[in-house]
Amino acid sequence: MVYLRRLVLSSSFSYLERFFADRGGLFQISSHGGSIPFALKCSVIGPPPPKENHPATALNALPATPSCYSIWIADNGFLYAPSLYHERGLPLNQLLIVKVNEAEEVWNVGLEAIQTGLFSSVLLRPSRACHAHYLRKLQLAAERMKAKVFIIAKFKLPHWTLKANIGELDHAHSLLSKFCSSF
Amino acid sequence: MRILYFQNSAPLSEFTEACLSLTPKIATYTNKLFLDIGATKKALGGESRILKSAAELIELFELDPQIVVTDRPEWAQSLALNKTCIFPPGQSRIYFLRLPIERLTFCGPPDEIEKEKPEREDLVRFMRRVGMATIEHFTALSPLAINRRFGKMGCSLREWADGEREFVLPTFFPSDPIRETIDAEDIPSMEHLLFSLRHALCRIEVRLSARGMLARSLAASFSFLTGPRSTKNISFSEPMRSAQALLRLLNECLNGLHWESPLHEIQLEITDMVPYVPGQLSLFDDHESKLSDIGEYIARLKCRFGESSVGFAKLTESYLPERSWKATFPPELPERPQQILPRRPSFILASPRPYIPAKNARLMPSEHLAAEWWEEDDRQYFILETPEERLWVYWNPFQQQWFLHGVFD
Repeated sequence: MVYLRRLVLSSSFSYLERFFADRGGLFQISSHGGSIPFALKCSVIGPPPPKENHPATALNALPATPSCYSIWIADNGFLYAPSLYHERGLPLNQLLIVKVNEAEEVWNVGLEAIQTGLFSSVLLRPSRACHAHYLRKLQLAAERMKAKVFIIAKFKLPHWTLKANIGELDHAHSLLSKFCSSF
Repeated sequence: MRILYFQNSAPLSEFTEACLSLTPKIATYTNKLFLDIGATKKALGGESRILKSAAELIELFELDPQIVVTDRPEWAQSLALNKTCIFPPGQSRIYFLRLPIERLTFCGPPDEIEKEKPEREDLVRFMRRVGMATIEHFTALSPLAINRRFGKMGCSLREWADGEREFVLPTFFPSDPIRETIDAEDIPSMEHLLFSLRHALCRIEVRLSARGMLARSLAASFSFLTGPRSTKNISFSEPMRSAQALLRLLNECLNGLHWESPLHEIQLEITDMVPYVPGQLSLFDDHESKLSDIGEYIARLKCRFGESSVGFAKLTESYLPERSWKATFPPELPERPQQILPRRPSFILASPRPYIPAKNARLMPSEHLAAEWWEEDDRQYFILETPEERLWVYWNPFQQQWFLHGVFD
């Protein structure tokens, strides 16, 4: 498992893109603030935003028929799409949003979503952790289907199942904010 | 002309509809069915393929009919002596003429046979008394002799037997609702129930396929030994007809259902259909099939978690956070940039939760929202910062309480 200290401290985001490209597996994002936009950026939905960084300009670059889809699953709330659309230019036609009833169902639906092979990225935001053996199932399914699974949670997960953990690092908060404002 | 004829003790209405997938030229008379399969003589596998498909349909609909393959529809009923009678092309007349004279009663269209049955039977008994043993003996007579000896009925029978009169098959238009009933009294477990449902859904798929339609919604009605009937309506994100996909959806619905009394019967009915328009095939672009698969997956998730809990986000014109978007399918690109909103979090709770701010928390005013005039809902939003997190909270003066609504994740 790789701690992304050096990668996060790097000023070049392209290094992270190369890290996440073509890798299936579990990635945990456990930092304060900006974790959702960061996870969405790493899930590579839509083309890279233009340098002007204006949502309207980003919209013009979006393809009408997306080539890949992502899925967001959470149990006690919703991803607030309007905010991400206005501020980050999130392509709403590429992200399926699912709200389940319990934390256990976040993990179940996440595993199902990976197994369908329909989604290149799966973003999970559960309110509780799951058992280590279930996490292992997720890991194996994600690696087999070459799907990136981003777990946005602050609780500790067995490190041997994760490919990377973007956790609390020196200056990570400000650096993540810089990354998020740049996309 | 080649005619495939079915004769059954029970009505053949659903089976008739399914046979539209074999040929569009169908005529049906309650428990009798005529299919004109002459056009398929050399095309698409020919007669053998049609017979094989028909056998599969018979098994699917659990029927046990008499089957005749002959050259003319007028002779089909007469030739139905055994369970299955397949006469080579051009040879049907030879076998028809060798039939006992009593079989002449069944020569002609079914509605005419039914109407003239007593008269025909009397005439055939008379023919037997005067020494005619087979139909050949009858057709060997000249038309003048038949008219003199047997009258108008005799002439009519001769015309049918000689093939001079043609029985035109009326066109069949399916109009009955697509409905299947499953008896659930003897079903001991969910697995057995799903197995029975699978057969019913296969029949539904065949009927939809024959009509060239896709299902958009299905109504499942459950009858219990005691208590009222319960109905569940299931709408599909993507029109479908595959039995497997429908079974997966029904499985999701059944998992969420509980009943107090033993189940007596289940009825499935397709309540909404759309014509099936096949898409353009492409070797390199699988976007359409992927979207169709996603639609099917979304339908299953909706059965489990509710209609409004699954979908692609579509922005709506509302300043209230919970009403500013809705889940939809298929996905849409926003047409134009919406108005710019104040800073809001990336994650909002499904419903605002009562909250008590910590004493060391820093509050920064965000926005002030008022709901409709008939709702007592006024919200003064703040961004609440603590060393651990940043929350989106609001104060409701009507309820004199703080609420947590979102998290700046």
